[in-house]
Amino acid sequence: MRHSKNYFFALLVGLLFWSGCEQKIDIALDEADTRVVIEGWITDEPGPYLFKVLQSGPYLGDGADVLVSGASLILKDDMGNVDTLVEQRAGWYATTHIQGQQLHNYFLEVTVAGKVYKASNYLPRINPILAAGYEYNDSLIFGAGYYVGLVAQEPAGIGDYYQFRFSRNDTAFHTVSDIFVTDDRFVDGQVSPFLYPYPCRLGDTVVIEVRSLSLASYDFYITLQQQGAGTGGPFASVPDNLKTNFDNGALGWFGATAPRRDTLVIQ
Amino acid sequence: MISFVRKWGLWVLILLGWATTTSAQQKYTLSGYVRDAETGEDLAGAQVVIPSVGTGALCNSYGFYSLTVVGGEYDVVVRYASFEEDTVHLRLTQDITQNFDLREKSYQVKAVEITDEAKTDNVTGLDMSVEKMSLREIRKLPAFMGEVDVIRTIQLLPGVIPVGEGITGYYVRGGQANQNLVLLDNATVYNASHLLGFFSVFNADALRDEYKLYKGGIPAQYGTRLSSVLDLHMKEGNTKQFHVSGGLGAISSRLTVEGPIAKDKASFMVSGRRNYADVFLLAAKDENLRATKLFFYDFNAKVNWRISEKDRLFASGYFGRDVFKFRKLFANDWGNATGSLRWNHLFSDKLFNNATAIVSDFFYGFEAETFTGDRFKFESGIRDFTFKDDVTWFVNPKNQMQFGIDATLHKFNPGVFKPLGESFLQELNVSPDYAAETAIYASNEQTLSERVSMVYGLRWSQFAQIGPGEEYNYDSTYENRLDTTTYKSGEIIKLYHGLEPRFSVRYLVGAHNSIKASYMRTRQYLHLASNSTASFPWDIWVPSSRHIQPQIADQVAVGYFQNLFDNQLEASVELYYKSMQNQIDFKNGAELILNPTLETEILKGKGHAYGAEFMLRKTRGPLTGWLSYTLSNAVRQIAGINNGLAYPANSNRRHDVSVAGSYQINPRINVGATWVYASGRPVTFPVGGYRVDSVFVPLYGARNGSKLPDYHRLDLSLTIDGKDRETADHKRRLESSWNFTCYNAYGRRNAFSVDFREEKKDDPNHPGQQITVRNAYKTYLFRWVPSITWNFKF
Repeated sequence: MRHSKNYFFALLVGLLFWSGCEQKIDIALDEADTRVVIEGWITDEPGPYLFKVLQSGPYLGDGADVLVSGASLILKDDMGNVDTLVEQRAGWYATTHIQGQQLHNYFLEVTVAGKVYKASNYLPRINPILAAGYEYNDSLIFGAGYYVGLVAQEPAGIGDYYQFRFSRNDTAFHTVSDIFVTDDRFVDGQVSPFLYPYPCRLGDTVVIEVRSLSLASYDFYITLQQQGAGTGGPFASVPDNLKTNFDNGALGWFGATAPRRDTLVIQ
Repeated sequence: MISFVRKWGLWVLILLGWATTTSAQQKYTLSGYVRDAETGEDLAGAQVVIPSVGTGALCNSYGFYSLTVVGGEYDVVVRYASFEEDTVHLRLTQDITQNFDLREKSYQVKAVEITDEAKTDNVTGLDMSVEKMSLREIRKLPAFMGEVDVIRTIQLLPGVIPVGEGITGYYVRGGQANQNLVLLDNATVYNASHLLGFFSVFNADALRDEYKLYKGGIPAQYGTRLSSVLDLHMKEGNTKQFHVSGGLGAISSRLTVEGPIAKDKASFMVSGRRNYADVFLLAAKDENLRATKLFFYDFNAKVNWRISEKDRLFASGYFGRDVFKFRKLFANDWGNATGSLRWNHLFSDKLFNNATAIVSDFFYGFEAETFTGDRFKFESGIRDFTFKDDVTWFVNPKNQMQFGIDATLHKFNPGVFKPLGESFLQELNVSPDYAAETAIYASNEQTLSERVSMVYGLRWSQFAQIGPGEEYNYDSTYENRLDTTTYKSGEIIKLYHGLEPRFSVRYLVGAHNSIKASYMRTRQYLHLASNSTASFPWDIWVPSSRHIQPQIADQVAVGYFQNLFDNQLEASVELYYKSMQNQIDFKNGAELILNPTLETEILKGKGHAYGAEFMLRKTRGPLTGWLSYTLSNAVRQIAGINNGLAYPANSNRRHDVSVAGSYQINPRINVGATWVYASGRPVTFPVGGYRVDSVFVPLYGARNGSKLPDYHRLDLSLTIDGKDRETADHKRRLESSWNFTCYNAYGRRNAFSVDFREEKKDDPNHPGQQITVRNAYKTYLFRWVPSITWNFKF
């Protein structure tokens, strides 16, 4: 329903108001003080896991990352394991030995310039991909081509959340419109398919991935979908800051997930 | 007890006061109906006056009046808007029933009249913060795409602001769009817009000419919404002759048939409208666009039967739907349906009773195919059953009482998701909520002296959320659900009630100027779950519950009213202050659809608004229209938004100017123009940004801390009537007219919205490489939108 809103409106305006147009304008925006941004995920696959520390910048402009060196990062779990991360290159920090496990909680503590930022997350369960395949479809919305999909047994019980990721010929699809997250309200306990909405050609190599998300991470992606798409008119979502699970004013996300993936060659 | 006296003592004293003024002289009652001589329809608001004793009465909304005076011989004068005045000489030695039939003034009369009998309603009436509109008047003004729209016209009034360019949703005096009550023959219309707000659901051809918008000083008979009441009535149908009228327009066509079932006894009116927004799509090159269906239609019907002089029966209904379809992939329809059955009964020549049974329904449905080929449907809505009884008691010429009851059963369907056929999808229901909303009220309009009149009233409203249902209990953070209480059918889950005092007073300073003041408290027990700025048809109404408290507003207003140049010009200034409690908003990213624990997504707070409204209006002569200016401020403060600090409400526009005018050049040609200017809509712009999971996201500062550019627009219209119009015989004749309009005549690119987009650009520092930059774009919707409409009547 969420997506239908914008789609619906775009279509309506497009259809009805052919006289409507767009115009590039110059606008001066206020600039806020920079904030610390921390991002990284622990998975149930072998590490090391990479974490990134950077600074927010002006909204207009090139948006290049301003990485932050010399931060201290400590990752712990609820079983007593502690890992102090090492800075690999400026702003990028790697774990040394910790390994994520499903159904456990993880805690990240980051110190930047004497200030401490904490976040925690839960690594939820996932079932394996039962089958993956592709089929030809001349979809009206996404175009004609081969569409790749997977089938998995969704575990019984409401409260599982997923993200679907896609890459083709080593190019990952990671814009706002490539975010596909879902809860299990409509498919609880069912053998459920998911079809990636990217038409592929013969010879393409495709990697499909499904990741388990905690409720907090799911909410994070929902706000990322809404707010990452930019500000809009009376029909857009109310502009608000993206969720963060760091305290003390830091931005970004500390995630925990169990990813499952499969590789296919269209032939 | 002491506090009761302190609080309500004033009311008690006033009520006693009027009881003693009813002294025992030999008095008789003159009562009856005032009607349009040509159509036989009631003229609500017509004045019946006995000048020699300086007394009079206003017809109620069914055209009934009652006037009690000492026996004797009198000239009785009846007046109404643009109708010719009627004077009857009567000898009152017993109670008399006297009906009046008034004729509309011909063009010649209107054109030459320079001074008229004192038309001083603006000054002498008790109404303040009320806008009275006439369809006759607004038909002469430019209409968007030729569609005469009652809601679009009220947006030109002071204190009323459209939600967005071209959208029929509106804010009244700093309130929210969902705090406006819209009534059609007393039935609540939940979603008054078609095509996501670009047209209102009201077909002007099916409506009675006069309608009112209450922005403040709302009479006690109205409740359920915080901000305003728009009270619309369908036409009753001509009781004398058959008529067919209609129009062919650029974007829709209309047809209305009305006439007597039994002459002067019973009449009917049916009206239909079909919009064809998608006709343009047939010309599209794109096959997918050609396959898209998008339109709306609506029907109005009314039957009216005068059983006797004492009894009248009305039945009316509205049904409207929007349809949006794309091949087999999705089909979407939504709309309102209302039905009213009304019985007017005269218990005596002083006691008028109006009993109404109402059904009101809003439905939203969506059927679609997923990418995997599975089909599903989604449905949501709300349905009300209402019974109302309103009594008007014409106590004596100095007192007119109104009292009544109001009871509604609401059924809320928050949403049902159903897979169709064999599917891996699971059915999902959020169980319906039920609530009973009731009220009793009484009010009295009292003339204290020649200079002072007042209306005081009290409404006591109750709201019970009732079973079957489940109530969840949460910890103080609302993050964790503790336990669930299950309620049986009919059991009260949560009860709220409260008093809503209403008061207005008018002091006549001189013959042509007055001061008025009013206070009102309003309560709203229903809340709209919406997290976009405008409302969508799938937005969900939720009842007040243990977790969501009723909204309460208090408003005070004072005004100065002056008529100038022999009442040719009506001028007024009003100042208001409004405070709103228990306002709700939603958390960032809130899931509003199919969410059984919606209360966990709610944020609560308060708001206030104040402003000054200036109005100058000319209602007679070849040139009519108005000039209005509003200076206002509206603020909201919600815990969890803007760090809990107050911020400008979406309805905030500091300056708002409207000019509307029409000029009758000759009997056949009329030109109209409107010009609006408003400060830009408040928006939240980013103050920084950062990249997370490869997406660059904005970092926002203060909520609504910036403004869109100021808005202004000129619309023009030209109406040319067919030649046969002035044949003065009253037999059936063909009338026709051409209407040409141009919306946004000087083509200003008014910003509907401003958004930011990522774009690739050559890197000036590294030739051959590209960098990503963000640019601001404004979307503007309508420039020079022309339309032609042909209207006819025979």
